[in-house]
Amino acid sequence: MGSLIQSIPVYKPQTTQSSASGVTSAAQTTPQHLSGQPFQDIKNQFPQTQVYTYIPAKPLGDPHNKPIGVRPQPSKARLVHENFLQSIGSTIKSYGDYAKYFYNAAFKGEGKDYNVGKINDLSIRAGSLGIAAVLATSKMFPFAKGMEFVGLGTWFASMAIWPHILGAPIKALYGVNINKEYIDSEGRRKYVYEDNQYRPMDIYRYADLNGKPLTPEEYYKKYDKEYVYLDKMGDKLGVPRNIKNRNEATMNRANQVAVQGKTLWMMTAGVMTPVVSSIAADALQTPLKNYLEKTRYNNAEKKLKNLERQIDSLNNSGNRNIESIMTALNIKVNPKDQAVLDNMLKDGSTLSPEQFEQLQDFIDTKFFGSGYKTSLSAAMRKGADMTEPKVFVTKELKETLAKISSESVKELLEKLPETTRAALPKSLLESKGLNEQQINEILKGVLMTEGISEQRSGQIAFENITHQLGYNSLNGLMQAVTQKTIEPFSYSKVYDKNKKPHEYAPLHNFNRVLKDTINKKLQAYFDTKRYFVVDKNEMQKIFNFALTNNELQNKLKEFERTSIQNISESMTAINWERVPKKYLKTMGFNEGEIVLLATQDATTASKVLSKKFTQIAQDPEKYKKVIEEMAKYAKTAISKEEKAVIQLIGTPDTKGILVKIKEFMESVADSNFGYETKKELTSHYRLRINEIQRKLKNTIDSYVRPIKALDLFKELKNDVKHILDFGSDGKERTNFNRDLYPFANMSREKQIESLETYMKDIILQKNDINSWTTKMETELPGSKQGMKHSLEFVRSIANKIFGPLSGDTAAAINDPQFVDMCDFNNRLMRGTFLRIENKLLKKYTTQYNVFYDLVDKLAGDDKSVYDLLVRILKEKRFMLSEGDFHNCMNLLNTFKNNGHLAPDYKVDDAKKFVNACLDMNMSNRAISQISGKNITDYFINAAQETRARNKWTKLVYGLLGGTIAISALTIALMGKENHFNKYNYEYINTPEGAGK
Amino acid sequence: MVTVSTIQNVQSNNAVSSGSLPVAVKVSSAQSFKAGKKQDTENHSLSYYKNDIHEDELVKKNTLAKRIGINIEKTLDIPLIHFPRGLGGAPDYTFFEFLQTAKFPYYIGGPILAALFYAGVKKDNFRSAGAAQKVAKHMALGVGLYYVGAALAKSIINNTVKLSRGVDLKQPYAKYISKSSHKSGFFTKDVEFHTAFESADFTRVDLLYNKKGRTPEEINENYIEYGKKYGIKEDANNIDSTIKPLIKKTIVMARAWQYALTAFFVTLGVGMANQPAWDKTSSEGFKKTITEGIFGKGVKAKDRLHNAKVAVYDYMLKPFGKSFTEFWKGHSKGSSIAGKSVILATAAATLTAIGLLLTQTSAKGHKLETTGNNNIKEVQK
Repeated sequence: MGSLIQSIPVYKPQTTQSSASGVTSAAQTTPQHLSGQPFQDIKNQFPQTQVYTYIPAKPLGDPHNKPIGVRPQPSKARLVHENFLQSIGSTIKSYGDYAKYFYNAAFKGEGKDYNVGKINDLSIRAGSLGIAAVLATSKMFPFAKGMEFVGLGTWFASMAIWPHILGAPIKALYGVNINKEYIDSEGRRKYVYEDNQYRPMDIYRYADLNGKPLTPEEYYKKYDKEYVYLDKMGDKLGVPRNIKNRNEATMNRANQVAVQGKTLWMMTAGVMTPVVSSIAADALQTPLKNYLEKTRYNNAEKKLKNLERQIDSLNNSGNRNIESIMTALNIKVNPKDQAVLDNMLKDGSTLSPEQFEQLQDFIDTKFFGSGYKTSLSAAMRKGADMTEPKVFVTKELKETLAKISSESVKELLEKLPETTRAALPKSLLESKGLNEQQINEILKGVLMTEGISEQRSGQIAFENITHQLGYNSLNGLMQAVTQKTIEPFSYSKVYDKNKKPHEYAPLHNFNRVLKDTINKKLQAYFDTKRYFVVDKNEMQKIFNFALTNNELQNKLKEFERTSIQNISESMTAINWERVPKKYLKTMGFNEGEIVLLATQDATTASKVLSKKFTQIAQDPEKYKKVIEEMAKYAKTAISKEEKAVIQLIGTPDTKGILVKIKEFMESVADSNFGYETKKELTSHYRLRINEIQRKLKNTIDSYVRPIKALDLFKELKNDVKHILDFGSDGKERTNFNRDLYPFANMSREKQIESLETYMKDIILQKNDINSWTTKMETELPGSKQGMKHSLEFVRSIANKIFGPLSGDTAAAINDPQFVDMCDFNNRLMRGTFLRIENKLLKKYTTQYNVFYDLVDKLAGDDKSVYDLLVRILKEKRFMLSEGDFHNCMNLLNTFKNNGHLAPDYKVDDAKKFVNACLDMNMSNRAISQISGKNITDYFINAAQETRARNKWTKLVYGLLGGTIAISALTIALMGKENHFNKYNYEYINTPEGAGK
Repeated sequence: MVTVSTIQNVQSNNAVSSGSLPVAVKVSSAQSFKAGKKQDTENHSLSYYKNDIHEDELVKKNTLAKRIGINIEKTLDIPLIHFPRGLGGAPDYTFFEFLQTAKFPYYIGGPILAALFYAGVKKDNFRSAGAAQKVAKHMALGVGLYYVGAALAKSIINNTVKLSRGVDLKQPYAKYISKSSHKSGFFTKDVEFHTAFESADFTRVDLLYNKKGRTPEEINENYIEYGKKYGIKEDANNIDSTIKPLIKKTIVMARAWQYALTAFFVTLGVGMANQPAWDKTSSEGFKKTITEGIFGKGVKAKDRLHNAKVAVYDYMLKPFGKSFTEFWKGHSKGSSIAGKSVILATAAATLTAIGLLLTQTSAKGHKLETTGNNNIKEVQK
């Protein structure tokens, strides 16, 4: 028994003498750290104090000395030795246990600190999940929703991973695994180094060299002594081999390292958790976005295809009954709306004007923004008949008549000239119109004309007996009221001999106006007494039609939202997020340039761009590479949108779903409500198609423009000379001073230089003629008139800017189809753009039409432009009526084949017609809407995005690098003797002079 | 088990045993001197607990000011004491110290995440800078209301337990750290502030005895108070043994519900922070109202008061209330369901927690049995 007790290391009180000579043997074993100056001070201060010194345990005696009698139960604790998958499994399982702990604690009050602590873990995760869910529901789009959970996941993952990342080098260097777990005798999972004051050394007794727990039997087959794992750990930690109680010393050293490691973990976790989480979430963004984009688009496309099939079969069936169409498309009226509608139509077939207006308002608001409001109103008016006004003799009628009469008089008296008013008697100036007596008399008279006896008429008129006035009586009433009101103002009544006749002259006019005013007011009043005879079924049909059309539109819009619309997370938006940044990178802007682009104004930005563009254009190798790359990005960005547009509109030769719906709904409208409604509907659909086409054109323009700009920069020298020497028709200039008057008084060098600078500027900045003009004024001082008087100049420049890509560029792109698309789009852009030029130069508007030169050529001898003109015409086919489209096509064919026009049809008229058809006029749109993004804005935006990204990268990787460096340094210094830890060992059979 | 008699023994022995220790004698005389002076109130300042105690002692008069002082102390200790000691691997480093350092990542993690987000936002563009500021504001509010929610959840349970059972879960005690065995030199721990009820396994029920008492009633005075609240009428000699298991049960249940309610309330807090109600006022305006309106120079006292009202009501309470209704209503079907279910679940969980704490911890729900060994077993009715 004694030897067992001795084997337990303890702090024992040792009596020490303060006198210098009387040092006992116990004091001799006092460890070094207790013999320093401070210790001496304490001893001197308190000579009687018991001093606690550390006495190392002595080894166990022989086995036959084993204690007998009551002994503690053997420990059932064991080390956890799991691989990654197993540890995930036990983590999941443990959450089930935690839920049990919660139930026991929260409902029964049972549990221990361990269990309560685990409930905290559970609740932190549940709370975070709740927060992510709440934040996700507050987001509108699936990617934003998804990122809430990705953020949560990466947060917890990095929280869990960081101690393992820190632990790996610590384990490699010192053999101490700070994340090592064990399961205690009660089955609770704990960290071996959780509590520095509780050191479960026993659990290492049968651990093999890898820390795997074995049964004693297994263990002794491999090893002949206990604690081989601690032995190995001790070696790594540098604990001397030949000391007493080496395992204990190892455990102490291991705990030192563990405390150091865990402190480092806590110091760095606050930085590393968000940093690692941020990096991981960022890395997951792109795949998540791609995945969502793809699935969203595919889903939307699938739904669209479904709809297309339904429309096709409905179209073929020839059934135009709205209700059965609704059933086929599974469109249902919202019961609330139906209730409102029923309530409005409940009064039967006649509706008062207010009720009818309410009905119209209801349908208007219900389908607000649908764009065919007018067509609905038209259909409704058509579906309703007006009754004759129903006017009753009532107090209200009398009051209204009095009011109309007095108001009319008052209004007009105020308008009379001063002289005339002076000529009028005072009583008239204060005239209040008809009084009650007069009105009653009038009514009596009117009633008598209906053949009612005088007595009865008097009764009705004077005693307010309700009586409906006949239609003819209304006219009589109107006349009588007018006459009676203007009677006092008649010439004969007001004539005063003392006054000159001309002073009364305006009065003549006055009477006529007064009469008109009263008539109008009465008419308006009678109109409010008209009722609408509506066909309830017809109204329901109109409502159903509007609803059906709306639902179809919504289905299309759903598809547009995932693809071509510029809203968050659509295909377009994702392209805009990614592609400009790639352009910026491809062109090789350095950081300084990016900062300038991102933070300075457009002028500075365009200077930076101009420099860069020039630089690239001068280096053929780089030029080729940049063009190739940019074309690649442009293609992916454009092709996605193009695909979606083809789904909606189709190609020139096939019909897309939007076109099919258009035609179907037109025929439904036609057969149910007639031509007027159909016409409105058609124009509405045309607008939508036009919008979509415009959208695609702008997208192409945005991405192709930088390529075209590079192309221009490359060819600029030649272009400038060409503009100076040749006219826009390609012939040599004959009157330079007239065509290019701003350059008239310059030397050739100066001309070239000015024009070059000028063109660089307008290429990079706004593609807007106003900007061209302003630029001109700044670039060419002295030509204040700008270019307003030189159509020829504008045209020459536009020819270059909207011209086809050069051969070198086309070769670099190496994709004839794409090059063709770029050139065609540019041509269309030129068409749109030159309309503005025409507006600026009004006198040319009629003479110069966009494609006039082409049509001229076709009508002449150059038949090669035929294909191009047909292509343009097809592009415009939805803007034209079917008839116009075919006529135009026929004319083009006629021109091509040199055929004969119909008799009495002049060639000039035919050309004008073709021009009108091909015209790209979009005068109702702002310039920014009919062109893509201008290059400067494009790159400014890209630079801002890149800069934000760079800032983030710097901060994130700065923190990451800094923390890792500090951690590495700290780890390198672990497990060493220091201020807190002094290593003093008692050596076994210490040879003379042996060190540590 | 500590009984009255052992306490008395300890007390009578103290004089002898501590008498042999000069240090203890010296300081204990100082203590008795101070104690004599302040015996009536026993309202010691924090520095008393830091410098003058020689054994673990409850912090009497648990006021808000004291708790704030203790929390500041504990927070400052993390970088100043625990980190250096931990990095050095001090042999006497404790689990308590580790838990203290574990708070550090929570203090700085959220702000760093917000900073990282803000760094990645396009700020050169006026419009996106505005949008980013709005998001950043919601994030900051989210962090703020997260803490408010967590504090609220804790305080609901604390108050329920304190009012119904008299058990103050926040009752701090100062843990005396022996300086003679402490070897950390410069980074010496002087005192650790714990709470008496922080552990269910090792609840410091021993600190609840009035050690200066002479009669069982005096010694057990705290337990007698608890007994009234728990609904136990027992002999003053035994009441402590009866109360102790009930206190443990109360601690376990209260802690479990504190954690559970925290999950609900922080979700509610973040949900409310994310509502448009907060966009109506600008954080710039709030800052100005406080710095210039309340603390600015040359502002009339009346205006200061008015501005304080504006800052509290217009900038905080009004949007707070409004955000609650907005969260309930939601802006879409999904968010409306989410808002309503979070609010209803939080209310339901709170009521359940209070209900269970009131009914299940009461002694009335238990039958107490005295066994021959004077051990009291708790038996479910």
